[in-house]
Amino acid sequence: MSAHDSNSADVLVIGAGAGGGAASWALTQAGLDVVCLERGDWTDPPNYPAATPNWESHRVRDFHPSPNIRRRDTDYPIDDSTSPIKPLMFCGVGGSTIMWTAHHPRFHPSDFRVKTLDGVADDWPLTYDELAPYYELNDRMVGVSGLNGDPSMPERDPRPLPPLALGTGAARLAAAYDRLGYHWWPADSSVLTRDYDGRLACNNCGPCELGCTRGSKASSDITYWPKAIAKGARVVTRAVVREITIDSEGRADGAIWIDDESREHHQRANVVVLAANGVGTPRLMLLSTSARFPNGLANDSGLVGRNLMLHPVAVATGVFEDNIGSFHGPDGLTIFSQEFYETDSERDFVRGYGVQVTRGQGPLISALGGFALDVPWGRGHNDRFEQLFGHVATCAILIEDLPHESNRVKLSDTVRDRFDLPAPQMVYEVDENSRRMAKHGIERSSEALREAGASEVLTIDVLPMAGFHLMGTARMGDDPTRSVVDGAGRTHDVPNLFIADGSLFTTSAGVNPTPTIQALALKVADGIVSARRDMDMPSHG
Amino acid sequence: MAEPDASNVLDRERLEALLETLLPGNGIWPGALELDLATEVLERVGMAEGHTDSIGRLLDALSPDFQTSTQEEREAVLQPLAGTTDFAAALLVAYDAYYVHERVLSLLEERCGYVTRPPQPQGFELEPFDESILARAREREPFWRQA
Repeated sequence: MSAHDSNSADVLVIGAGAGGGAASWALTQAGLDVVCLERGDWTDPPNYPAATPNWESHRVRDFHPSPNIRRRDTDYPIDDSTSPIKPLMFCGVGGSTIMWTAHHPRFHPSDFRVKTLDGVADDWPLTYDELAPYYELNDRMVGVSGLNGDPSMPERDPRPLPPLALGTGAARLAAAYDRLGYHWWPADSSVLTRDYDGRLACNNCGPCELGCTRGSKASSDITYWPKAIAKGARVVTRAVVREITIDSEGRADGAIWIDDESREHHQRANVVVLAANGVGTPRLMLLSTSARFPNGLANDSGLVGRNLMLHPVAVATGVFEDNIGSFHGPDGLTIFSQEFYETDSERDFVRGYGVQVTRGQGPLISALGGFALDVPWGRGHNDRFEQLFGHVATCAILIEDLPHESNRVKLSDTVRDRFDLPAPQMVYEVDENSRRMAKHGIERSSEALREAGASEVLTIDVLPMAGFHLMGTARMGDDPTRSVVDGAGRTHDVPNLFIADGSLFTTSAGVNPTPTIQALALKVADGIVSARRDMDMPSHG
Repeated sequence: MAEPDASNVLDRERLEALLETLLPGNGIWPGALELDLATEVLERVGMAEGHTDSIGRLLDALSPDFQTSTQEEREAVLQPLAGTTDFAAALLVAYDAYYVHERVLSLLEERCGYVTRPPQPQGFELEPFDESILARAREREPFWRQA
């Protein structure tokens, strides 16, 4: 192997998103030669929609979070006919961090021990304390805004930046939570409140999900990737991987990818890291069949693709009689409550949920229904629109989704991509435990919203367009019969195949996953560096 | 595949009636006919794959006398179709055109306090976080579970 051989590398990373970026950066810091294959393009931040007059139109077309609606040539279709929650993601350098709202919470210590504490699902093969140094490193890399002192979490290093201002709606909710005795705290976000690491502070423009023109929001194309590339990482865009290849000993030796002209290439590497998200990664593993792995790569357990978790989201939106300007500010980032996060035997569900208080949206999305807005078409449209637009605050109830083997990603029998490869199919049902949590969350959030002064509360039990968190489909564990990878992210069946995305999650917790994905990716990379001699890689750097 | 030219495919009179049914106005906010929204819709509908076909199918599904019916009658005709993807496409295109029309933008500013310029590059003032609001929340003892 030569670091100068363009067709080989120490490590091949597949997917340039949250996990792929973090892992690639860490690997290059150790002097390893990294090639990343990314099916999407680089994006062009100065030309993101927020700088255009019709910026909201893009949100429902080429910047829609659903690949099935967006339909860029870099997207792949996902058969979601068997899932009430639709998949949301972005393909490109930065992955779904291009479109995320940049909530930056950590898992709780208890999230890693759900079997021991609550008798459900499985414990993770690692602890919060083991992951904490990687959370800290990631916080510094992306630039986290927030505040220490949250009583719902262990103490930690101070965030690099102060939190974002709350806005009127969240401030009213905060006061209501105080009166009700409910926990709340300003949300951690990876949106800069001051200039940081060569990036500009947020200028409060609002639609984070359309990409950040200023670089204030931490998408991995502007955080990890420039530093990884400066250290020699090579990113090949518009490279559609169709198969991970193995050698005669059953070790991964690279991947076959397809370019825009349908030409196939074989990228070789000593180590392969899959970071194609909780749908893309199991799809690739299931596509990679061989005599050794007839049911998909590293799938002796039969669990590749299974235990898909999505975080069902219930919504309670309070309507205030006065105009609180809820269309101002970063839409997803204000305060959160963990009052109902942990298991309580008095409730009719196990585990719990987090509540994120969000702002309103722009006029088009509000008219189309936003978060539970009941704006009718026809007579009454304008009157109702004016009652709601700028008058709302939303409690987004993010539910810990327990793993079930029946919830899964499989290869679709009917839908194929533009290269005639089977599309992934999501087979998913919201379980009864989640439905009970949704009911509880709506009741408690409605109470809080009314306490805050809302004159009415509009609700949705399960938000359909909420499948941004794709988790669990190549889960971690110590037992090879109950998991796909070990605590280092290494597949049980293929010693030089690693995973560094949400597929790893043993359980889902009740908070957004990206900081945990990135912390895990950094830890996985650390493990690869430590073990490089065993994997025929140089120890320079 | 390129979208067909909507102005050659869609019946303009039916489209105008459909748009007016969706957005009739209320005396303060203008209706679709008043804004000549059909012209804008015909220009925009091809921007999303399949929308021209969707709206064409929806127009074909309407009763022959749809254009000459009252608003109330037209709403009754549309109501059974409201759950279809074709209807959703029409609604999206109609609202998309409506909420960028200059008269509607003026009303959004005047009546809702909404600043209608693009969010970037100017943005808005980012106020500092006021920590005094946390006085009560800070009093709470840590309650996370040891694991």
